[in-house]
Amino acid sequence: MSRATAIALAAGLCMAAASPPLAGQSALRLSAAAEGATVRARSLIPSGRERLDGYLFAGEGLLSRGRALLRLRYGQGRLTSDSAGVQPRSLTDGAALLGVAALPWLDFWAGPHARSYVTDLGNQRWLYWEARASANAQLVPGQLQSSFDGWVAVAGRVNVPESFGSARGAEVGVIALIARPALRLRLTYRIDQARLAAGRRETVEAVALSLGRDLR
Amino acid sequence: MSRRHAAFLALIAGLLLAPRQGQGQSAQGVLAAAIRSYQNLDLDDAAGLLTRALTFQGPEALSRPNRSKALMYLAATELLRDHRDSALTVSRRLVAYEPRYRPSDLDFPPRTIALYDSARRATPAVFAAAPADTELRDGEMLVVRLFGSTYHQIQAALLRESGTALRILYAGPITDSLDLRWDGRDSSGVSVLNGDYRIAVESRDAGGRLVRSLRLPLAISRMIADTLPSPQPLASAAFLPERRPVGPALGAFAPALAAGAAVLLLPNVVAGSESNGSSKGRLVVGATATLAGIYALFRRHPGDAIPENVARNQVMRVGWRAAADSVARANIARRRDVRLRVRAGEPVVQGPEAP
Repeated sequence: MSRATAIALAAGLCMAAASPPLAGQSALRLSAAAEGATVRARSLIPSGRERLDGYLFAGEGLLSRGRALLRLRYGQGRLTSDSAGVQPRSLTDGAALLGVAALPWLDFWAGPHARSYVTDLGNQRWLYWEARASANAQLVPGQLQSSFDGWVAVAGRVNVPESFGSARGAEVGVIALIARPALRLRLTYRIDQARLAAGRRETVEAVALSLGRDLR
Repeated sequence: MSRRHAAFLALIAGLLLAPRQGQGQSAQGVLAAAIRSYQNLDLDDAAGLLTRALTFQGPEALSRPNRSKALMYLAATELLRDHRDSALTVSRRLVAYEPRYRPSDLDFPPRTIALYDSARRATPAVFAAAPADTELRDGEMLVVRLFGSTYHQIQAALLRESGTALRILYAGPITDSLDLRWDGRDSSGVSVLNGDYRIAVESRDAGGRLVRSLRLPLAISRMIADTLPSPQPLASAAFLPERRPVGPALGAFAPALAAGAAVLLLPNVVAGSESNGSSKGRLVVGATATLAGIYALFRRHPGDAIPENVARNQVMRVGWRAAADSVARANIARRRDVRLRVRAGEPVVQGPEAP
């Protein structure tokens, strides 16, 4: 899928977001969250396999008005490996997703998702154009929710000689809503995998704990 | 045309145009003409007209008061014609037909009234007047008023249509009148069955001889009030659930279970053959999701009683039971409220001077 298709998808989301808001969602709402995650990255490269473990600290902001949603995310971390000869990496991960609240429990998103690995040998940058669906299910109203995310890259780019193949990912978690103070505690597991045309695969897993609250 | 032919035609025309007896003139009209003749002392005409008025039958017949009046005028006419025996016979017919009748001294001379009174005293007769349609509840009585022509002994009995006596209702003297009371039962105290009956009143002379009998036909039927329908049983849809359903609890548990399962499966789904060596930390997420689901499941208390719904349903059940009991009691009362419907016919007199 080309970048034009991704842009068309984002434009479609914008038009959907302009449709009448769901009840009680016309006000501007802003929430923020901080996240700490343990990360495991595995690479399948022609010369062999690499496994790196590390951490990632991220911040996330969510702006919504009516059906329109905007999600910004940025995180930095570091990955190291016990294997000799595997260079440690600095991990930077960020996304800017535009979304629409299709149903009270279902959102659709689209936008760029960038990730970079910085080693002593160089800088490797990945850019995906994501199409994502997020769903929430109430376990105990006002107390517990479960969340499901799935995404695919409709376009992508990576600064290596091989051309971009595909990428997809998913995220599952549990959200605890704390009344006082009004906080949102979220424990998730996410995994994504990017493939290059030549066969290289990059898989990143994370178990993340985030704490968020509504700012307005 | 000869004179003879003309006379014949005139005779035929006269016969055709002449009023026929009993046609074109009512019994009432004939009676009125007879009374005018009597007052004009045209006694032969009066006797003929009165006799004709009394011959009308069926719906054209004279009413009971007019028939009595016609008989009285006929007796008076016969007496004026010096037919005393005939006048006495007519008077007896009148007494037997209507023992209540008393001639007015404004209409008839004392001699005629005296003749009638002597005939009345010598003619034991009874007339019965009963309500045409009566409904008797338990303890109520049918009242038949008997009118006697003169003091004499009577016996009133309830008979089947076949003539079988069921109960003697009265035996003794009658003067002007008396009320015969019947409670709808036979001599053994049992309520009579549906069917046709009659009250027979026998008049006896001073010597105890049966001289006249009156029959009052009675049609007896039972009337039972319709019972009320019981209230419809309450539909199960009318009740609120008394226990918390399992469905919503399972509905809350299912997403958590799905999340737990997804955590286990996602590495295979997303990474395929590269899933070996996936983070074990994800099991913490899966376990947390599953525990959250179990908490959600029991948080909804599946199968627990819902006291407010139990109370509301109990109110509905008690209300329905009260309504059903009320209807049942009303129906018991209605079933007990058996009424005896008594329809009395026209009394018929049997005797020597029966009209």
